[in-house]
Amino acid sequence: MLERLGRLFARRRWYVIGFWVLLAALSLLLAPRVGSVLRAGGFSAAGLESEIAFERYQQDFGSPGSAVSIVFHSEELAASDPVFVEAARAALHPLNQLDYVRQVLPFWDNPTQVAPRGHTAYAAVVVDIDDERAHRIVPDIRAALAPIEIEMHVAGAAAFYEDIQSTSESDLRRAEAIGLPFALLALLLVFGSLVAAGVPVISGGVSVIVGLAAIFLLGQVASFSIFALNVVTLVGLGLGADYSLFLVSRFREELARGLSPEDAVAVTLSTAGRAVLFSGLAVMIGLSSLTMFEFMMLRSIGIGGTVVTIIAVLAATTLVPAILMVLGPNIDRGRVWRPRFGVRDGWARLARLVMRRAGLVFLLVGLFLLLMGAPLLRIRVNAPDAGVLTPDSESRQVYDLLSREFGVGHIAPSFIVARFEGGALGPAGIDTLYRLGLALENDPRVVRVRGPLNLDPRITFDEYRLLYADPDQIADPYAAGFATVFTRGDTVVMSIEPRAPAASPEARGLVDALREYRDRHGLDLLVGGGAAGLSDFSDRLYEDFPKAVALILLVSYVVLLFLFRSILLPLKAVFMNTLSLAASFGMLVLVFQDGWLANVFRFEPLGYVEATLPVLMFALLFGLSMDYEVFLLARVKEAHDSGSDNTEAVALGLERSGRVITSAAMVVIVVSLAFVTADIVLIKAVGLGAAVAIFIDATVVRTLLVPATMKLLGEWNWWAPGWLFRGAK
Amino acid sequence: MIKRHSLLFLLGAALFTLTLAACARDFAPLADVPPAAADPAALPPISLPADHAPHDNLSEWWYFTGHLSDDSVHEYGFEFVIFQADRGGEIAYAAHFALTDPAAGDFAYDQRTSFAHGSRQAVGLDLCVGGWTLAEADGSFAFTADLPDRRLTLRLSPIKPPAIHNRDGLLDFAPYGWSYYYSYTRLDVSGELSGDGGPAEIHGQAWMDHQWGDFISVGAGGWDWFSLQLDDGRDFTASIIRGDDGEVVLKYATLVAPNGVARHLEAGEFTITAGDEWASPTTGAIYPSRWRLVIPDAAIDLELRPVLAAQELDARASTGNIYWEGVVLAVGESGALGRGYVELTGYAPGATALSLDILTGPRTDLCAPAP
Repeated sequence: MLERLGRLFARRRWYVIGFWVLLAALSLLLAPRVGSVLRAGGFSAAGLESEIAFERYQQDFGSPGSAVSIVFHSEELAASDPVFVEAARAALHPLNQLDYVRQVLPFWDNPTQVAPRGHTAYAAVVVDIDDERAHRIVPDIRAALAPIEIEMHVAGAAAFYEDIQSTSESDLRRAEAIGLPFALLALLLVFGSLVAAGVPVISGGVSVIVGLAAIFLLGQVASFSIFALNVVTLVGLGLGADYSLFLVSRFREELARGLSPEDAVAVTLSTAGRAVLFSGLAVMIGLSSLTMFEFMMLRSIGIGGTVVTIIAVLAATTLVPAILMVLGPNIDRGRVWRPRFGVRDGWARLARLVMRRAGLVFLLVGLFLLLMGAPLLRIRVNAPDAGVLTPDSESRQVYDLLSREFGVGHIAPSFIVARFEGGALGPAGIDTLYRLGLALENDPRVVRVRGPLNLDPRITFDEYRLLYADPDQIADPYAAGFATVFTRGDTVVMSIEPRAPAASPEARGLVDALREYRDRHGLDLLVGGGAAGLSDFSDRLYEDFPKAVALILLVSYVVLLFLFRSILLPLKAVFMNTLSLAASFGMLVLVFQDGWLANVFRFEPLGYVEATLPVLMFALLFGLSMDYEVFLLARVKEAHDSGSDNTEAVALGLERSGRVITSAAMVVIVVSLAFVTADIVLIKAVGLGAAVAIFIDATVVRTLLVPATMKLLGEWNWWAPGWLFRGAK
Repeated sequence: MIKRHSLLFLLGAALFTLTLAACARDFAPLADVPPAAADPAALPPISLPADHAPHDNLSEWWYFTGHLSDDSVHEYGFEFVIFQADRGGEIAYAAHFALTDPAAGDFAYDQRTSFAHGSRQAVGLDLCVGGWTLAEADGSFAFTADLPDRRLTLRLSPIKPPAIHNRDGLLDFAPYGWSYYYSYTRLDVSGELSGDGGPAEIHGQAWMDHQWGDFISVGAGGWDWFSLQLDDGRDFTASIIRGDDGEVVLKYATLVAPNGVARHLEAGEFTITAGDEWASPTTGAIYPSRWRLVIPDAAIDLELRPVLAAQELDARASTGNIYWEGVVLAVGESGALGRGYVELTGYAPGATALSLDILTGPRTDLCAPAP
């Protein structure tokens, strides 16, 4: 069927090319607007305790709205200095003209908005726009602020996400600017001719443009994370180039065998095209597993990645054959050099060498990969905070300034929402809140507690009892003020500023401690806020992760089972793949958690691995690195089916796929490494992780571990129960 | 084959272990902490003049009451007080000023607030609350306060040494905290009262109370406070504090001899009994009135008569309470034997009118009135 399709595309080549040109032209109109549909956040899900806590807060206290902070700082002037205050007042004044600004809460009306040292303060601008879209108004707010002499920044979640989006877009432009020429260079190295090298670049480019346009259209009906942009581009560019490389390579082989262009196209599509379809299927299985997660951020990457993979597969199996037919023997035009890869028969000789010491190689390489994966044992995963941006981005600098001046707990405090029968300040409420407040104030992990029973540590329980004896007639103005802010009927809220950043194990431990306290005392209490949100996010993520992994492994196994018609071969493929991923993950821990080579890759070590990274990497890389396994084993099986014994089939398979796999891996590694220049650590890590995983897969796994394992398993490689594949061996 | 499978199994087991890497978190439960009880006995003694200045405690006030007359022998009573409340570093100031003109049957008062954050005002006693000032220098005090139509500026110099109450100046309100307390029971006063008719020189005698500590003055049952300056040179003060159930929880007094020697009186050494009531037409509160004071050991048996019934202050806009504070005459069998001031709190339900202002008021100019 693929052969027939190949002939059809060859004959109707101009229709096919015309279709893709039109599609690309339309996509060019839509793709640049993709940023307008991307949303911030995407790290929340229904049913998380931190979400329920916030909903309960909104239900009882009203929606706090989204807030953008305007930070003022001066080393010379104190925030109380009239010059400082007047400058800030002048800067903020124009904001009142903006329709969506509900309220501006200046620092001179609230001492908690002035840092303890007194030289940094912020105004909170409350806007009537939801959190996911608030980042879009940040440029307007920046423009509306009147210029002043003292240092001024726009901060808060909206500014952070605005920075993420603009950084993502500039990362993307940079990655494209670096990745495309280098991919072209790599392809030139592979093919030696400009025309042959150009085809995968066109295919990759078209996949990305159409993919981004597709996301723009899908974005009209579904939410897409701003993090999806780079991942989708990486996948589109890498796969688009990779797949057409397989086809161009095979096409040239077939031409060299003396086939006509139409026959060569037909054979190419029925062989390499088939492998591309299976490979695309493997990548889609991996990426679509992300849709199992409730978090919009992962789900949208899953949808976007799957869509762009489909487009890359379609481009490779329709556009590329049409182009190849048009080019015919001209595929080698623009020759710049004549590639000479190693000695003839080198791959086969290497395979035979490995298979002579199969046990030893298996053990040594296996141990080597496990050693590389060992850092995974001490992985600390955490949800993303400002640390995902490089230290020179504005949001990160303001985050660092606020952390330094106010303390990290002030930026992302935890909070509890509790309900007490008989009123928040009834006897039970006062008793519980006093004890809880005392426990928190004496806990070394806590810097500050704010709540109606935390006015001052010198106030005794009996004094509080007197203060709140009649919650409707509170005489002490401070107590009355705190009661107004922190209580509504039966509900009370307390804010807790942890000493350590919300993403730290210490802050997460405090959230666990609060929940354990709740359970121990049988309270109707929910914990939310910074650390709880991050903690709940990564807990839920890793609750679902094993299910996604199991699904990927199972479906991949079944697909490969039908491809190879073997019980053990797919198992081995899945196993090898997992090993190279484990090694890649180990490297991510060393680099991004421990900070190895941080200077080289230009980032500040997080002290943890961003929680979505292992999930994203597993979903993305399992399919990508499975490609090479599929190509290799397909060739091995081909040789085995042709009568070669197991050892010879492995040697021949390695020999026949060696060059093309090396070339394809090189292209994807080059494209992936272009994303290592990203300013967003998450994207940097995806790029580096992909490059390392594919490097390991294309080198030690393919050349050493696979032949060794194949030898060790012997004829069991090809065993399958007779009833499973009737008529097959 | 078994050997080969064992290798695969080992590798698989190791891989499985890798995938089980746990998400790190440092768990330590929240410990139940017993409340720390304050021990007033461990506090240092009062040290003057250093202790005239503001302290780092929950509550503090400087209270001045007195009796003035101008050259035309027109008499006035005055009350001027500054309160300082510290709640976790958020410091609120409130000030009350009242003038009683018994001849005109006039009682006028006003109040001010201002808020500070993190630090108190200047070193020493030098306060400004919404434009009203109080300062101490070289053992003398000075304050300025105004009403819409009058402005009072006074200099106050102690005639007697400070009276340290309750023997060591410390009151234990356990479990409701503790307080330091001393008074200048007689100060010589001179100054100026400006009004519609221009400034007038005035002079007289005043009383000063300074109290501070980790206690909250509101919320309990309230208290009755009495201060008397007798014509024979003796001064007397008594405090009767009620619990939230209305029962007396603390009662003590100090009798100061003409030479300034203070004698602490236990609850059983004196009696103060109200003989009348006054219902406030504005707030509806019912206050006791017209007391009989008996101190058998000191041969004192006096009736304390308010010179005006209506000397009530509605201070909900500043300290959040309503109280009565007014001039009384001490009358004996042979006629007036002295003058004094009485303060009555806890008779009207208090509720602050400040609400969120106290959390969000301006912090930049303490001398400017808060919104």
